[in-house]
Amino acid sequence: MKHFKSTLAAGLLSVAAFALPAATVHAADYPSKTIRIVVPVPPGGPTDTAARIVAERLNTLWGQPVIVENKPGGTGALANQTVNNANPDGYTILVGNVSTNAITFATDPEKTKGIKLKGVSNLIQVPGILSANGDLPVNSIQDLVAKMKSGELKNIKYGSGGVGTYPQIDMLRLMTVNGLDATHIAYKGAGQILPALLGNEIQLEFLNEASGLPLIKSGRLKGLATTWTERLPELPDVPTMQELGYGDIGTSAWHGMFVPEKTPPEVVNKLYTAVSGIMNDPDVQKKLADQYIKATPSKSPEDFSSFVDAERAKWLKIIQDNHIEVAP
Amino acid sequence: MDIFSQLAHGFGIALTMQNLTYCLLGSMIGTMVGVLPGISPVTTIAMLLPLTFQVPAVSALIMLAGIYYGAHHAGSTTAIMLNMPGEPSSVVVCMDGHPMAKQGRAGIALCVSAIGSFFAGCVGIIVITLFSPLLSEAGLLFGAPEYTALIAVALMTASVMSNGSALSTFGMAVLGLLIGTVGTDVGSGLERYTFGLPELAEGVDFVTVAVGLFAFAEVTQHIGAPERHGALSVKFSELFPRFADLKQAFPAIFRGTGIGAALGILPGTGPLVSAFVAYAVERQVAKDKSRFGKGAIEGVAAPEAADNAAAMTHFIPMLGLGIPAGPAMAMMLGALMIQGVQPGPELMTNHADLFWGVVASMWIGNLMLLIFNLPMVGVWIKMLTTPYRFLYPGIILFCCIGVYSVRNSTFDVLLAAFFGLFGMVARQFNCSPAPLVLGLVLGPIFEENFRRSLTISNGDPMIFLEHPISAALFVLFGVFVIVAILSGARSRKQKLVEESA
Repeated sequence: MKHFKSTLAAGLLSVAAFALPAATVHAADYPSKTIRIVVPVPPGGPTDTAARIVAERLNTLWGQPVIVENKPGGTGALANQTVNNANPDGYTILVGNVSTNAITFATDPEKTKGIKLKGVSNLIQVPGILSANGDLPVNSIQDLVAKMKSGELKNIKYGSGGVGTYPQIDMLRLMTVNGLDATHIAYKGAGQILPALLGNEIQLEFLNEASGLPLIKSGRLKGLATTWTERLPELPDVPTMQELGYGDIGTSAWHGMFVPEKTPPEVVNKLYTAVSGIMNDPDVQKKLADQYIKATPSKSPEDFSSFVDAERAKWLKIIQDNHIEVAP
Repeated sequence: MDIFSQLAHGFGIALTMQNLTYCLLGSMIGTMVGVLPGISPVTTIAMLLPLTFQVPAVSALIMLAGIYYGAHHAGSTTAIMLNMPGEPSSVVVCMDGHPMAKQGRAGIALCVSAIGSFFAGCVGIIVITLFSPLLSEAGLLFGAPEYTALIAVALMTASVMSNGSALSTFGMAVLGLLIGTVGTDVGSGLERYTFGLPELAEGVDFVTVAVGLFAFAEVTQHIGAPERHGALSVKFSELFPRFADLKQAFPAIFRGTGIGAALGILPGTGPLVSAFVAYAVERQVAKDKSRFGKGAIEGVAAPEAADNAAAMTHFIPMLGLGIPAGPAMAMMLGALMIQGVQPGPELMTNHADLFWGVVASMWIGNLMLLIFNLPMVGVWIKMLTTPYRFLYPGIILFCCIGVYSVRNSTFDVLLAAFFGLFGMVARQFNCSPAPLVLGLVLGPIFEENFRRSLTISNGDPMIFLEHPISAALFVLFGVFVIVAILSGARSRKQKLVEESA
């Protein structure tokens, strides 16, 4: 028994001896162990895709295992907290998006209180398409607005993933600026929204390009406008929202990388260099383009951080101006 | 004729050495995942997704599809042998499958479920082959009111999901409905019953509850029980079904296949709901209802066939229109998109090689699964001779891995443990867990669609009668209620007569 105790003590001591220096961050050694990328959504979809592509490339680049961990819950609250509370050593990374890291901060300050993350770089953007059921007798937004105003089109319904999601906010704003009214119906994900739009339960919806494009090309849906900064090569005849004078209405969802606030700048820079290199790789860009995703790395980590701050301010104003209430 | 030449072309693709290997790999992984309790095909597909980036799209989808239907094929094994669903939708098979095993008829149950799965799988593939475009359109006829009505009918089946008292069945079903309300409400974005825990914001996962109530609770039943040399100490009188068994099972397999093939097409329902409905129908058509829950062969054959037919026809919305009918399908869509294949209405024409190659591989995979599963019956029976102290720790380990991997949450593992405790207590009071599971699965679908319908109609409940499909289903619902009340009254009367006599 005595022998056991002394062995145990020695063991603990040696563990402590090894553990202590490891607790302080050596940016020069980074990365020297497994990196964990936390994703606030379930597998599948652009955020997850971006994280997995980055994980795969970082692994080849650095020779360290990089794992993607899906932690959906509370519009990103769970993933945000996990990364926020992790050691700020660059081994726990978040890939978040416009919903989980900008809009939720505006709609639900309670849930996002105390979340302080540092931006590394934006990764991708996903263009959206304002899509209408193929049988809706309109061919443009102007047409839609005119026919809704004249009463020719009544009871127009649109879908989204719920109150406070960007497709809902964008459509609400589009209706409001034109003095129109449409009924919002909430669905859980593309698996529910697509059948509802195809089956004419709803008539309008902001879809991401990957979901909408094949249905638009086959004539089942109509593309009325896109949210991208320029016309999409796949839909050269569909105007952009900006072109039509709708300014910043319409979202091309961004997805970017974050680390805990106290992560040393050397580590952040090392991550940024690697990640922006990956996003500028023609091979990666081709892979993303096949899924109608644009690679859009930031110019610098600071650039991304100020972009995120601007986004939060922008959404906060939108939510206040439109009286959108999510939390009680 | 055209279809046959295209299918032949598909076989040409599926029978290449590479694709055959991926099909075999998929079916094998699927079988393993199906047999291991707790680990679901969805998490397996999520884990293996990155590996498929490197292989051609056809091979990737062949393998992922194999995992999906393979797991459904094999899921009944653990349900029958250990009273633990190996894969979520085989919870229903536990109800009569495990009693059969306790009577020494495990071999028969396993054989019947393997044959039933194979048959149902074949019918499902025929449906995909012939009617994919047509049926993916038919699925669009189901909007919010239609789903509301369909789920109302399906909820009625809770009444036959247990042999306990009506009160306990009702109580468990309501508890299931209540647990289903936990999480973020889609309509308002508000969190309900989450106690501020972000872990509960996405709701209580079905796998967590099923593992707790079935697997963990089952293990607790054996604590303190005298250690035997095997988990079951019965003689296995018969390994293979006799003609009489098959004669009894086949009509049930036919009915189950029909129900599964139909409900699988709808994006909102799928294999699990099909299995519940098939079980309820079997119980209604049976002459002697008291056999159910005590090892009725139809109670194994029908839900197992429904599960597998639905697992096949569940591909239709994805292949026909690019609609992800469930989380597993969403991931397969993702895999296709990463490969640069755009799923959508044009998939069948623009990617004919992919579509027909995958359909052909389903025939091959289904045959492989039959070949795996039938001879394995003897091996599974042997498993029951393993003492508990070796068997159960392993099972608990796999269950924990399975629950954890659903969303990488240790909270969920604790929650499963809680449901295990609850299940243990519930068993003491003779409360069957099946109605709870049914309530948990159907409740959220019902609520969502009910509220969606009323939003669409501006609060006018007539919407449910204005839509013909939903009206017809509600009439059916009414008939069920009346029949249930009448038969309840009759049996009570009979009891009174018997007691006074």
